[in-house]
Amino acid sequence: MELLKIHHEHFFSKGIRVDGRKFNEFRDLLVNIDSIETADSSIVVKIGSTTVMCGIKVTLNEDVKALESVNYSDLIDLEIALHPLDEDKGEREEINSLLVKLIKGNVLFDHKPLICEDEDGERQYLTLNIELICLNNDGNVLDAFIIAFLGAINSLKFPDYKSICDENLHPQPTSKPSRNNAEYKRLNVLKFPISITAALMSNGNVLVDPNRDEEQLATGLISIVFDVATEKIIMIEKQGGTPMDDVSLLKHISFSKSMATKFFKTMPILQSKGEAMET
Amino acid sequence: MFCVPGDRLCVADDKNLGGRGTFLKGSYIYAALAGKVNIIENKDENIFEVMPHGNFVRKIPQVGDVVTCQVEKIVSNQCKCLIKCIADSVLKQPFKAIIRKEDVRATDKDNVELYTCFRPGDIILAKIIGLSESGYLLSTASNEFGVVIARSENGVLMVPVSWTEMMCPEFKVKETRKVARIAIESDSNASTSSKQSNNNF
Amino acid sequence: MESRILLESTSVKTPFRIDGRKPHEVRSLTCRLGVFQQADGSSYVKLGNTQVLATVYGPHDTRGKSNPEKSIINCKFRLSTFSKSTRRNLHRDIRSIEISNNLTQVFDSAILTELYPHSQIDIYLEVVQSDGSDYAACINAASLAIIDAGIPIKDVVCACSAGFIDNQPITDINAVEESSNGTPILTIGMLPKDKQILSMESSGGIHLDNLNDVMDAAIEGCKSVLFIMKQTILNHIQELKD
Repeated sequence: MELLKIHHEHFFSKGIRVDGRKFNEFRDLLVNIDSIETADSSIVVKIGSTTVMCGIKVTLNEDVKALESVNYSDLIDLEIALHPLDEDKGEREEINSLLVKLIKGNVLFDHKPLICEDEDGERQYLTLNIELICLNNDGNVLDAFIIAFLGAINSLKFPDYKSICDENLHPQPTSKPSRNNAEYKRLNVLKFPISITAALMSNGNVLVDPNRDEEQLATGLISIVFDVATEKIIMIEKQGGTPMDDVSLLKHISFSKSMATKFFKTMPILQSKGEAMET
Repeated sequence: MFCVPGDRLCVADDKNLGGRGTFLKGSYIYAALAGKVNIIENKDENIFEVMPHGNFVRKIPQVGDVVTCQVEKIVSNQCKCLIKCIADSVLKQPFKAIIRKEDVRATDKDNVELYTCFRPGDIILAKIIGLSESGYLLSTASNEFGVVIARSENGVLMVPVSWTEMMCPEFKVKETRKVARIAIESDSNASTSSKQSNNNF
Repeated sequence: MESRILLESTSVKTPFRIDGRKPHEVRSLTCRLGVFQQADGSSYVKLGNTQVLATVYGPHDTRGKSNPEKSIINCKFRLSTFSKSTRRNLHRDIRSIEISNNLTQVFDSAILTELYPHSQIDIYLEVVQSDGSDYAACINAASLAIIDAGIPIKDVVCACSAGFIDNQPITDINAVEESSNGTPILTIGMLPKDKQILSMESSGGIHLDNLNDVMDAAIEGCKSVLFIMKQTILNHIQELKD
């Protein structure tokens, strides 16, 4: 650990990181959508060698019928699987609670399409079963998770509740569900969260998109989640770590904002397909 | 020649022996790893071995190995440490190990005070002498084993001054340790050759 | 719901299956080794539409109990919620535990565990898309990941499933055939070198008279799977050597 620190600090003194990046440089990002045919929406996101996967399956929800009023968060079933061998339990809890807070605590999309009425006027509810899986953890899983979530929600297409009902009664023996576009619904995404995580080092350096080694050396992490559409901050998390003065903190925030906007613009998959949704 | 696990390499007899990366079954030598087949031809015997891809052998500590460990904590009659390296190869994940009070010194075993020998954070050289419920058993009962790197209470690297003491060069404070006599060149050669011989895997 | 699983073709002798395969045809198999950096060994297997990821860690220090004679194998199998095409609630817990236990036993006997006393080897499997024969795909993926990790193993463990429909043994069952009522399914995991069967698991009723044919179909399937797995391993090591 100590040697690792000396090794890293040697590079930091020259204004560069061990993998050759600058302090404010992101790793290469790779996004692959709809690679899993059985899911209603799926995405694989790679940041450097950190690989995460998000899959969404829409199912009928019987449990919430009993509730008097059904909220946005009742219709989301979120499961987060960091790699089972990640022993660092604390980190797992932290990412878990952050994501639950972000996804369930904010109304990120319009959930009306999930509530339908059948012929008898009875309400039927659909649930989004969202599963986030970390396949390879090389640092900065949170950012990757959020990009994956946003991409998956955006590319989500699900059939009318009736066909879901039918499928429940008579499972369709086809390996690939027929994708007739006319019958599919999309969700209207209201907020577009993109997070920028940085590691705070003991000597005051701030490293954007830390890899695993840097995460371990860091005194703390700072994650800022922006809603890119309205350019507002949804969430800031800085749990301890090296103290920062307000000037540098603000500077970091405005830098992160420009970064997030740049991110958003370069990835069409994250943007809403509003026109397609109207039809 | 490349092979995959389960490939039959040769008939096993007096002349042909299986080396690392192979196993014997019936009267044949089989490959247990995927990699390149190496045949070491000696005068009266051929050793078949498989070099795994990337020339990389998975290792776990074995009895007799000389290991580098870091002291974690010290309780009344034993010192808990983590094995970090075996000879000159670094382990990906550390292994738990303990040094019992009676294995610290070769002489005067009963009057050893563990606190005067090790402190948490010290890097020590030791030899594996066995296995127990709570991990590997280590011994430093030899001149060349003991503390090699230690920091004083002020966090400064100390230099050894005698076989029981180390000194902080900045504040000239002496602390007691079971100091290792760092092996000279010929010793290290001997240890590497012994490493190769017991390194079937 | 009545669905014909075997379709009549013009020649009566060789009917075709619902996805157009011949009875003894295995779906297309793609394997890759070393897909993740973080793990000691990893692999990806795509058998038709079934996709499995496997990672191997170890041998490393045990957490909790250890065996002074040999290494402990720990297998974890996971089926992601979005892996199935039907929208049923997945009763995945019982089946997952069963598969995890079976895999542990298979690899406990295949890996040369006695070389690593007092240590543990973890094998993690994640089914990202399921289209039948999950268990067989998992055995193949785990075996490749172990080889990638450089852990000594007796043989390239390979597995294949087979079933019996309309008086006809068929190899490599897909999800449609799996879900049609009363299809007997037999999954065989074997050490191909000695033609030793490591694990055999069956569901649905197979008549004893037909068992032999079904087993032969599965073993034939194993052979074709093994051929591709061996090619993949050899290509992988040659690539690394260059």
